[in-house]
Amino acid sequence: MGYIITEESVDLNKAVISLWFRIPQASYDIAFGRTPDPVILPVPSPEFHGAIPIISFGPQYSVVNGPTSSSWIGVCYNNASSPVWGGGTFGLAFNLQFDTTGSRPPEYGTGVPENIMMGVTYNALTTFVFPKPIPVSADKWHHLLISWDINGMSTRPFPGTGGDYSSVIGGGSTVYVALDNKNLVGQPDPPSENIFWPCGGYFGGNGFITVSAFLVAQESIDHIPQPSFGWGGGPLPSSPFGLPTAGKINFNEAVELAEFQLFAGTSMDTADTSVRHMFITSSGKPVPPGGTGTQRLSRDPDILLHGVGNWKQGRNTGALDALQFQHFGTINKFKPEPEIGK
Amino acid sequence: MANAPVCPISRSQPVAGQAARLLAPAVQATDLPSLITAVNQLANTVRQLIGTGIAPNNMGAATPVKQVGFVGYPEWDEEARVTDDVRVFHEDPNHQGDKSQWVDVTRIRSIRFRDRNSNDVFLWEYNRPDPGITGPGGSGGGITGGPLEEDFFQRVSDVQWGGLAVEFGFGAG
Repeated sequence: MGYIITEESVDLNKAVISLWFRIPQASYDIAFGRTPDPVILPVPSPEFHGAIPIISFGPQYSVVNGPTSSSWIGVCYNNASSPVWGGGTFGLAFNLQFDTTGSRPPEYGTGVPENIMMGVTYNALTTFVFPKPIPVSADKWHHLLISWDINGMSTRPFPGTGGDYSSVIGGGSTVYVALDNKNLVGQPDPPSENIFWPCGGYFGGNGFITVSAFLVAQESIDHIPQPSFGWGGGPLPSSPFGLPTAGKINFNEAVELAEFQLFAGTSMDTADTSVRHMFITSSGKPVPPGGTGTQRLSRDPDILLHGVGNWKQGRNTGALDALQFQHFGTINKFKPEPEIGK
Repeated sequence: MANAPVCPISRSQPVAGQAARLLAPAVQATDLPSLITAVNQLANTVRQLIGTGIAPNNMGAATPVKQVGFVGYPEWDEEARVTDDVRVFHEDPNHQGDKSQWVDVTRIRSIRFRDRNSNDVFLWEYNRPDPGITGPGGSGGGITGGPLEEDFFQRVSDVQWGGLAVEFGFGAG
């Protein structure tokens, strides 16, 4: 087991994250063995069952049925037996876990913190998944560029017939995602890849709402009377922050990582080709630190993990000097070097 | 002789010795400015050894003595410089070369200084065999490791960062 972790906090209400990652087939095989049975699955699912994190941050929160998941970004197995998922592959997934609770009907749990989650089998009743999973192939390098801007959101009673989610949802957070230099939300590239449904894709294509907001909105559309949902937004807790995981390290499978950059306090639209090329070259390789990303934002990343030596020592060479990582377990140099498809 | 002075130092005490002459060590030269500094420090050291340096405070003001072969402080001017461009590859602690990581440097092979007072010439030459590699890209195969620690290089012209990726190992804690 190897991981790096810091207890220092960083403002993640707006963030841009660039990370190169590669997941061995052997890790997929192990994670597949932990894939929950959608029929007998306990509610909520234990963290990282069927999933492999590449980043995790923030604490877990105790709720009635057990702890919440922390925030994490990684891959999750898309259950081939599910007619909704139609998957059978590992696909991109994430969960943003807040520590504040919106006002909502009691059956959705009072005091349960809000979360924005995509691509994850949560339990048999609520499958917040991509209709078209974004496969993440094993034993190949991938580049993830994800950005968000967290804001409050609300729902309102369904106005009549013929409406959709956007007719009952107000506000919402904004999430931008690109994988391997392809934008996946908003104005996807290609357009058929717009897969963030049903929790995402509102408000110009990049609007995301929390899971409970979605459930309330869904019932409103179904003409089930519900009190309006309201949530004031963040903050998005960041501590502890770990790569590939800061918690549940018993579920930490082998992953390869390279070139991590985090810019706090800003968000960027990954639909913009020039934004993606701040981090990935046209030939599918990392843009060196100090390259176009830094120049475009006129500052260094707050967290930068670059080079084998820095990774192994957990040495952040970004702008936040005070934020350094402790390193644990086995962290070895890996080849090939990051390049899409290698 | 009743008033003869008594030595205040008993035999059990070490006899105070004369303060050692302080000779400033020459700095380790790593670039052109430090090379010039090192040369000047060495010249000062020589002057002190032959008695024409700065006088000890308790010996009164020093009177400059014109001596044959010494004409005062040198003023070195760089007169000529020979450089070559070399690609230096990374070498890990096990002395294994890594061609994926390299730095192209413009290396100083020699510099000739001339003292404007004495017309003396100081010639510094890189004292390692010429690896026979010229031009960025190391057409001759480049150098692995170490030389960067000892070379004088005036400019880094290009760098390829290798060794970006790590694997976080398997297993439970």
